[in-house]
Amino acid sequence: MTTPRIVTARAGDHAARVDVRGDGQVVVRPEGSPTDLPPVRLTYLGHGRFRVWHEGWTTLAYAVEDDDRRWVFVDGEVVLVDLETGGRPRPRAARAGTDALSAPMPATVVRVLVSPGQAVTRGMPLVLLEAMKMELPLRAPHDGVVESIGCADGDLVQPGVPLVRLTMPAA
Amino acid sequence: MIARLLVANRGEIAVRIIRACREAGIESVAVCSEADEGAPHAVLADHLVMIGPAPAAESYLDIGRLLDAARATGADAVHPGYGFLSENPAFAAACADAGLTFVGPTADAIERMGSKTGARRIAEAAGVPVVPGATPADQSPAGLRAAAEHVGYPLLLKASAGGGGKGMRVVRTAGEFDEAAGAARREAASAFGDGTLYVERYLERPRHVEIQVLGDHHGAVVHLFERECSVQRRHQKVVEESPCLAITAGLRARMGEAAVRAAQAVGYRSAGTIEFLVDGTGEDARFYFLEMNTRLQVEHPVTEAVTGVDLVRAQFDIANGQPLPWTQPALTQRGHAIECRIYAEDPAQGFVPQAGRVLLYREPTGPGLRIDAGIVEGAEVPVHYDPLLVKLIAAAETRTGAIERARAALRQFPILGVRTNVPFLLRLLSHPAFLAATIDTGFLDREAANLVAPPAPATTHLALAVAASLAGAVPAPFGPATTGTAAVHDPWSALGDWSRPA
Repeated sequence: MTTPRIVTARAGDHAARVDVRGDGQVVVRPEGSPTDLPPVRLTYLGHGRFRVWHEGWTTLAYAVEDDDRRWVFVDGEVVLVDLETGGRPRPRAARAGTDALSAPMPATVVRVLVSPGQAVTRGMPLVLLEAMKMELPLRAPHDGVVESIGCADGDLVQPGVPLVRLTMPAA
Repeated sequence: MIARLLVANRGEIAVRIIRACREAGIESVAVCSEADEGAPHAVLADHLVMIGPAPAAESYLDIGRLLDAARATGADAVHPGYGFLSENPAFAAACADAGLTFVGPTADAIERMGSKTGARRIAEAAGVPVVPGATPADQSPAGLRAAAEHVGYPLLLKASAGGGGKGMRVVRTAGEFDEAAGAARREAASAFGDGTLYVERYLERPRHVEIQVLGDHHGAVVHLFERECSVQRRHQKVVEESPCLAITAGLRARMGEAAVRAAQAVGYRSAGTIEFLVDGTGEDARFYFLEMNTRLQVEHPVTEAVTGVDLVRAQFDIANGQPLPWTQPALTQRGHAIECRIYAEDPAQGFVPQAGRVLLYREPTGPGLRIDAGIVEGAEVPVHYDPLLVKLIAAAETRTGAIERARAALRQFPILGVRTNVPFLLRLLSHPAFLAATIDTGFLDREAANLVAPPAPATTHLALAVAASLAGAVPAPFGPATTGTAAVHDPWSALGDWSRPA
């Protein structure tokens, strides 16, 4: 049984508020629509498999997590879905205190571009990472001062481990 | 007798050959690159040799390393599969020189059929029709016109010296000929510095129909009927079937006999395929030799399904010197089979090949269904190799039955983590022209854009409901912690654009 929750789900041009209720009923309201779609009943069968009951019709669906996305297979179609927390926007506004920045995936540090004490502006690259043969800069999410550096050139880093701590501007 | 066989390949075909080895009581030796240690063929075989880094040139295409692997494991035979070194005469010769049985034709047959012009000459000499064409010795307007009358309309004028469409003209009637020839000559002269023209019959909407052959060491060659392979995207086959509805029993027999003659002309042994272009339908249809593939084909299961012959097992028996167990009349074609090639590619992004981890993979099962897979759940699809992941073969009494079976199976074939062409295949299998079998080699290139579509809104909404219901790492209901002084920032929001290293 799935935990009740309300999330915003997106796939391509489609977005909807999805209300997952405790009794297996799931109610979808497409973005911009004043009304809910007819409820879907889902039974989780394990190993990524769902029994779908939908307006007198039934099928199997499969879903799997891939970092912050979910792949769904239903009736021969594949849909890649992004989930956002429902109800209120996720707080991303600048807050007082420090902010720890980490790599989104296992990566190699190509170069640390800043040093402690340095003032940085929003969007400035702080650390250059390499993963999957691609380079990606880790950028400052806001203006601030580099408080500390948690990595060095050539390090193999894991997601969730702070690489740079940035002081946050006072609110 | 082959006792231990090295499979010089990877993916689904290596798995197919290893399975045949097991059935035949032959020990199998797989080879793998560093990217493939967990790949199904590497896991399945009795022995495994790591032959080099991921790039094929340093592993699956390295003749020296493959022979070293055979020596080190005491293999006495090599099966090349398809692709990689399968049509490389130097590899066949090197195996023979090393005392290994090459499960395939002789190096000489590979070499002679490997040259397009050489193969055309061999076919012509064997009485196999080729697309009529000639470079007239007399290049005057009168000389060209005479050649045109001989070849027949519609025809194609080409620059003898080059390709790329330069100097190419389709001429449909004699009245257009002189003007088209003048233009083609000027284009050819300015593009290649040579205005010599080649006159060839133009096939308006040909079909690609090929004949499977098997030859033994004793001069016997039989054919195992045709495969219709017109559904191609940029010359890459996507769906193949047998029989071909467009050809009559008489044409089938004539094509089969022609294929046997072409194979006999090079002393062919083992499994091979003669590709033809077929122009027209019914009794008026004509066929023309295109080329010979001197190896097992990707689409061989279609033939296995309708003839009951195990082609890989037949290759083993032939390599062991056994005579073919059938004469031509003993071979029959029964029912209908269709193969769908499942590629790691994204049709929505111009069919660009995809790589990544297969996060979820569940094969459909049922009567009349065969799945030849080169992947398993959890396997990595490397960027280094062919994007063919799986072949789904559906067989039934009728073509309609086989198509319905394939469609039902694809609708229950989830492959997640890597984009595939499964949704595209489902649309293709419902296309009216495909259902009517009125297809030609240009069909898919004309229609591909119409077969790429996002899922219906109702399906997408269902998918959103399923995604939201999947337990696990749903973001906390109120976002990341906002209290304290060390909030972990969402790393994705801090990322800039991806770029290639300089």
